[in-house]
Amino acid sequence: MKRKKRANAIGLCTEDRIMYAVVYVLMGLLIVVIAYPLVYVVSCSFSSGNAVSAGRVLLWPVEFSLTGYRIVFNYKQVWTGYYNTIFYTVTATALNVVLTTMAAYPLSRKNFQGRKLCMTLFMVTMFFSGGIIPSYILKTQLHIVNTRWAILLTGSISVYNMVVMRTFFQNSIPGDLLEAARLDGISDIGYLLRIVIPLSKAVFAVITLYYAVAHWNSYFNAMMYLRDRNLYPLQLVLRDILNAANVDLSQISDPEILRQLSGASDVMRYSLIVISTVPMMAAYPIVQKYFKQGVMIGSVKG
Amino acid sequence: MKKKTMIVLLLCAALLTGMLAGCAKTQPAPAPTQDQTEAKTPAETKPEQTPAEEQAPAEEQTPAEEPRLPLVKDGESVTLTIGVPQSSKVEDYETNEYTLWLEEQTGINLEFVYFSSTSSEYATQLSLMVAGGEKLPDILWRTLGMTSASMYEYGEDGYFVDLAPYFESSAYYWNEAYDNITSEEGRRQIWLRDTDPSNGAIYAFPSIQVTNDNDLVKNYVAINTAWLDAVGADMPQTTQELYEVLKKFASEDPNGNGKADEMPLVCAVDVNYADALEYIIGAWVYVNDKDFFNVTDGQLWVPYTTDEYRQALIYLNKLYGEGLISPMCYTLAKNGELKPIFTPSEGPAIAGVFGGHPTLTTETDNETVFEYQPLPVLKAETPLGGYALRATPSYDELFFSYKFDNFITSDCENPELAFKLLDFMCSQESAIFQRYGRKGVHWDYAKEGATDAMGQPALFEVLDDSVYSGQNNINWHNIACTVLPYNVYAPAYVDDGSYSSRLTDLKMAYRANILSKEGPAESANGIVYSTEETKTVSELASNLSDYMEQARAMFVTGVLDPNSDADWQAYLSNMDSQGLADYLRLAQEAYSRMQ
Amino acid sequence: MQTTTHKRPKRTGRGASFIRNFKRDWQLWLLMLPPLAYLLIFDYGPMYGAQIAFRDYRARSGIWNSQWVGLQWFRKFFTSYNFRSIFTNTLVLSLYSVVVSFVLAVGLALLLNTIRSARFRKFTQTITYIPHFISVVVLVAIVNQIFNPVNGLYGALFRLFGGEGYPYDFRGMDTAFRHIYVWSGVWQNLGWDTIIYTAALASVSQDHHEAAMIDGASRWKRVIHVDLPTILPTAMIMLIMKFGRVMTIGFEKVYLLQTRLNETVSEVISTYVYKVGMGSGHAFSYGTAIGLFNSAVNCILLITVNWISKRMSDREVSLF
Repeated sequence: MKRKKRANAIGLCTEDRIMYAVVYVLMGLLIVVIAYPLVYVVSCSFSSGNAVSAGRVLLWPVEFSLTGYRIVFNYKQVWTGYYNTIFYTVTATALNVVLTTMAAYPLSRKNFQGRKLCMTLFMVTMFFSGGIIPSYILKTQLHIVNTRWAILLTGSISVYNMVVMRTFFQNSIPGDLLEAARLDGISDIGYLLRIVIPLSKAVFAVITLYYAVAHWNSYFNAMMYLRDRNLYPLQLVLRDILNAANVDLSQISDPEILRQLSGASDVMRYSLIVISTVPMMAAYPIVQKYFKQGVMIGSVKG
Repeated sequence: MKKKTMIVLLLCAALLTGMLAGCAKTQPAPAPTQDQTEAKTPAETKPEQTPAEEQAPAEEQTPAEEPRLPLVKDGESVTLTIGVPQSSKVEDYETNEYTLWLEEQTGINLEFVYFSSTSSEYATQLSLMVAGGEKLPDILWRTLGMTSASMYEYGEDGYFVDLAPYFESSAYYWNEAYDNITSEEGRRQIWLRDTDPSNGAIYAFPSIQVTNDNDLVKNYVAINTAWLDAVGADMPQTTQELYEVLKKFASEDPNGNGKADEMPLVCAVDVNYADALEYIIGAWVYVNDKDFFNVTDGQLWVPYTTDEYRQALIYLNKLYGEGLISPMCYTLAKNGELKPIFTPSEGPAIAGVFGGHPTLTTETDNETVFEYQPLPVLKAETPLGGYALRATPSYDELFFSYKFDNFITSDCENPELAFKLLDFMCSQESAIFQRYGRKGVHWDYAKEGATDAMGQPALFEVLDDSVYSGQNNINWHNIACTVLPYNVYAPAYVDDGSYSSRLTDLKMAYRANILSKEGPAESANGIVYSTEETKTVSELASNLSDYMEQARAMFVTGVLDPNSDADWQAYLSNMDSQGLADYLRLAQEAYSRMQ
Repeated sequence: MQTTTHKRPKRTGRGASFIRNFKRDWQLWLLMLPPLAYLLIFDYGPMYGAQIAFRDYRARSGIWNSQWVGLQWFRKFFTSYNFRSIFTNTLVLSLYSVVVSFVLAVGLALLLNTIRSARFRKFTQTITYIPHFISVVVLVAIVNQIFNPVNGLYGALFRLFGGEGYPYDFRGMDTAFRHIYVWSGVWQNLGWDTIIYTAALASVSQDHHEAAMIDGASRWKRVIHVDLPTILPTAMIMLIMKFGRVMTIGFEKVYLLQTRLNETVSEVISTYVYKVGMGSGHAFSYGTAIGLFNSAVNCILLITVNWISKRMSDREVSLF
């Protein structure tokens, strides 16, 4: 009897074997291509200023030194920066996710009365905005300039993310569930809370990650709205450190000092990257847990 | 039905928006009117002035008597808010030694408002504060991203106070320092540029530095003398000789390591002070890319459309085609990238002719740098060339640099006191404090007979220069609102044969090289435009300057052929169609007005 | 259901069905309320500021009292010397970037999904998404350093394979600019872009896979016929949204990669605005006008692609 090509635990057909081989090779190459510059960045951050700016670092640290890190951590503002960023990230993300869900769910219901209207209202803001001046004036009038609220209330809903969530609700939650729930007498809000949200862990994970990372990396809003140093997020502080390291020739006439300073900024750039990235890197594995394969609790069929 | 609902709801939304907008409308209006009344005093009560000539009197007088310190009467407590750019070098402005010293000396309590340390962001923040009707800090110290045009605009709109009357009545320390600037022409130029051409007002309290050294000189171009010896050539004096020397560098392995790793000529056209190609073009026709125009007998003209410029391009094109000019000239973007080329950490020198500032492009303690000597200003191939390149104006063999970055805003309730504070910051001890730190600890007055790097008597000597090497709380780490005449700028110099003093000697050699050849008699440096003119000029200038640089790169690298008449004509007509004639005309008007 | 004669006859007409629907959906409206309120206050409220594009904004006068200049800024932009080339450069660079990163992201997500070892898959995913956090400035510095003919990896490899002198330095060349821009962007964002597709793949029902296996499909066929169709709707939506951002290409990266030699292809709208805005007091007005133009083009592109998607996909995938 001809052996049917099946992919099962006993043996792989040739087609499958080739495919897996190709995939593994490609992934291997990808890892090398992506990892090399990352290793380079870390190595640079642990090298001396002169080695980095002279471009002597190829793969491993040259003239191992902690200068970059030392300079950064000596600066006390860095710690306030960390605290502020964590605060903004956690609070703002929570706010974002709640608001986004509240907008995405109704829009995912095809029969929702206001679907077309609301969607249009949201889409328009993707393209047209008043610009920074009227936004600033508005916030001045609301007396939230130079307060934490200015950061929390800017960009609280990303239409992009909302659409992602809406699409997910539409495509991944079967319509039958809604019918069944209706029969059981559950209201819309109840349905959202008890059925949709638990089933959407994957998209919540993704959207939370998107918002969190955006907040972690942001500096523009803080630059615009904050004047009080104690409210500065990490990125703003790090940028200031980097700017300060850029040598202004007209200040100094002594060549010795010039030389001391000119190497520092290059290595600091890399240390700053490592410092501001490491916390975020820890986030992904946590988020990844929610991407489990096919989860459909309980059967609704029949 | 659905459509109509949509329209109805949209209208409601629009109404709502309108209402909100209506609320928004009223708010900013009050702010300007109240500023208006304050601003009226300085700007409008000033008599009609014609600019520069009226300001000249300020130089000659010593009007104010020495101000009684502290500036504030006993028992009074005055607070001034001062806007400063964030700096991570300063541990804390509030508890800073310099701040405390200032407060103690003047009796004024200082409060700080922080701005970004990036120029464009600073400018945005300031304009947002203004747009939002917020109260500006009393003093803006060392603003970033403030151009002459925006300065005049803020001033004419009444946000900045006109300081001219204060310079006449209250400027004591300022005059003291200013009198030490010996160059008449230098002094005249400073006022010329600080004054708003449309109404003669002076909005900015200048920061002035007079230096001796090449930090401010435009192009360092050096040639490896060890290689010259290896190939048996003399220092090239003409472009033809340079060509031959470069050819020998390329073919005869002057660094003696058996590998063809020499780069006969390498520079970085996008890095400050490192454009060797501009330097070489100077043999045919003087070009200063920063100024764009040349001046002869008060008439401005454009060097970039002359035949001599074309000759220069043909020469450079030939060299590039033969591999004598490295393509890396166009890809190197920072000083740091020049280091491994100028002074490789391992192995012999690889650059023959090099463009770049030695103190920034040298690997630590690398001896290769001393193989290089400045390339002379190449002999004029034509009557238009052969001049030395200067980036900043130079008068009496000293280089002047000035910034207009300190302002007193119209939200200040006591502008005279604010001015006196700024004036005090110009005093000698304050100026050196701002540069080096505390007297007696980091610096002190020099002993008899001490001289500086140029051999002139030195005023002070540096005891401890650690102030610059990292974060500290001693001074504000930035020089602004000071007048540094040469003797206050240059510390005593001891030639002790150390690496850094040898480097200083090298810099002096570069300086001598530049000064050995004259710059052109007149220069179009820093033409001042009124706010009206700036509207047209700024875009013309940026487009033309951009295109000129682009075209030069294309001609040199061979993308366009300077030998071909068609390409050259196309280049000329592109310059024209981008408004060259208008730019020239406007610049001429502004320049003539400044004379 | 009971009907009694006491009940009033059901109202007909549009008003009636509106109220009926409202009664049915009132909870959904309630959910919508806070987001809508936020939107109206913080996004629509400031929208009156867009008129700066039609005025000559001066801070002294405020927005409403600045001089009205109509279409002056637009005219200036359209008649500016290199309008054509900056517009084309922006479009080409952006489209190149969007298409490449889209295709590769979907592809990578599918491939990652086929990896059976969970540890290897997680490891690969984590590595690929780290570059996303590197700032643009560092990215450009890395690119410049790696391809440095003198002491970068590029130069080292060249000498390793016996090259004399230095290899061709393509970093500043116009021919290389677009490729450097796009592929460095791919390196940076590929892993990150796959996250959403990975999440979507997580919801692929196992039944479909089992059914396919029973039918004798190989793993590869399963990718094409089960995985891909599942994430295609999500992918299409993402693609449509990306088209809605085509004109607003970021300024910083282009600016950092720009050299004199590649300006003919590297000058895009955002760098143009930056250069022209410096030093003139009209940066706000001019910039806003150009921003409006960009938005209009983005809008048109998005609607077009959305329409195409609706027509071409059998499930009528569309944004609205």
